[in-house]
Amino acid sequence: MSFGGASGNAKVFRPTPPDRGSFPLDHDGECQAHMQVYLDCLRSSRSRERVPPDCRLLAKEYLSCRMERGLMLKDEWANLGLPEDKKGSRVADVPENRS
Amino acid sequence: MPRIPVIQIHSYRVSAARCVRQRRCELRHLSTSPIASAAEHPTAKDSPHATMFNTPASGIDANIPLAKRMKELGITVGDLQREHARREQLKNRTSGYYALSLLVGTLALSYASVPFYRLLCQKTGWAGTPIAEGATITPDRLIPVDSNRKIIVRFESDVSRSLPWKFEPLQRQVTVTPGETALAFFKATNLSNQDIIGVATYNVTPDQIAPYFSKIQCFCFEQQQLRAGEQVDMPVFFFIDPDFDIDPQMKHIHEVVLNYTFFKAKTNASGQYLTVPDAAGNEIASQIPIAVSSSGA
Repeated sequence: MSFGGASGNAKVFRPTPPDRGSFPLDHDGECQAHMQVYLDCLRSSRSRERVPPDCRLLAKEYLSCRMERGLMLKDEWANLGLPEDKKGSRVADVPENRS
Repeated sequence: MPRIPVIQIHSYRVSAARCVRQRRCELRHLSTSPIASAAEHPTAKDSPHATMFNTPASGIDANIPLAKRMKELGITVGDLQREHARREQLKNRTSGYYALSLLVGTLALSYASVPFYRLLCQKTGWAGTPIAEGATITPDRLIPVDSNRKIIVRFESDVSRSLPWKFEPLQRQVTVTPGETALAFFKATNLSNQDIIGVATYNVTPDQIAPYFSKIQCFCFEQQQLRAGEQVDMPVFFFIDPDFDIDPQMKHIHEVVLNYTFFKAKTNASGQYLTVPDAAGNEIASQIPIAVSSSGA
């Protein structure tokens, strides 16, 4: 890194490591089906709006697939910003009709 | 209080009683000139030595010749010399111990400074060290902002020329709200017939959003091995900090480009991959690129 050279320059970009580290690679494609469903959902929504809640639930499906197969550390959904399994989740309370 | 006779010998002071008892004398200095010869010449009142010998001391008649006084108390010149030698030796030994302790202290400090510095950097993030203390993103940061704000995140990918991989994003863009987590995928294919290890870094444009762009989990900065001909999906789980919405300097930003670039992990002459530990003690490939990668290579 530039020692003292970039001090005062607020625009220097410093890549930071991810918070939980790196995903282990899914070499055997165990969760590929979930990924495909999620991507199809993204494409169908045309990305004109925010990621629709259905697609976020599919993302949750993908991540839970990873967790089950040991490709990701198990964690609470609240820590990942995804709706809990119970009803009355956080994500759904942002109204879609705002857009 | 019994008066302790004191003998003044060329500005030395000897506690005579103690000398007699313990054969040990209190001396401040010792001159090498024979003491007796000086005492042979009783001083006149106005000579320079007279002042010393005539200094009032309790119970001493300064006119008694010095040699006689010493003989009375049983002190010999040899005693005085031995005493001086003993004191010198003690002084030298003390300063020797001080010097040795200083040396040992400096050595210990120099050994302890390496882990101490590492700890300090990790805790304070000094000198650009990333603070890697486990999950620092708390659930309260992951609540979507209740506003109309939408950010379009586009994905770009690059591959270094020395890496025979095909690397592309699987979606062109994702629209997110600050505070909302999003999942995106990249696909990497090893086109060669060897197992290759690659390392990825990322870049976010515009630069101002970089402090707000947080990745919960991705595939960057760690070596990822692809077997020959293998194809694998690489997810990125990220979000934009909700404070982005209230920052007035970020009001004009609506699009973000997230660019991942894959490099080949460095190998030495015999084909072994080289790793270098970083400040946190983790092993990373030795050429983690920090500079901005060129888009559209």
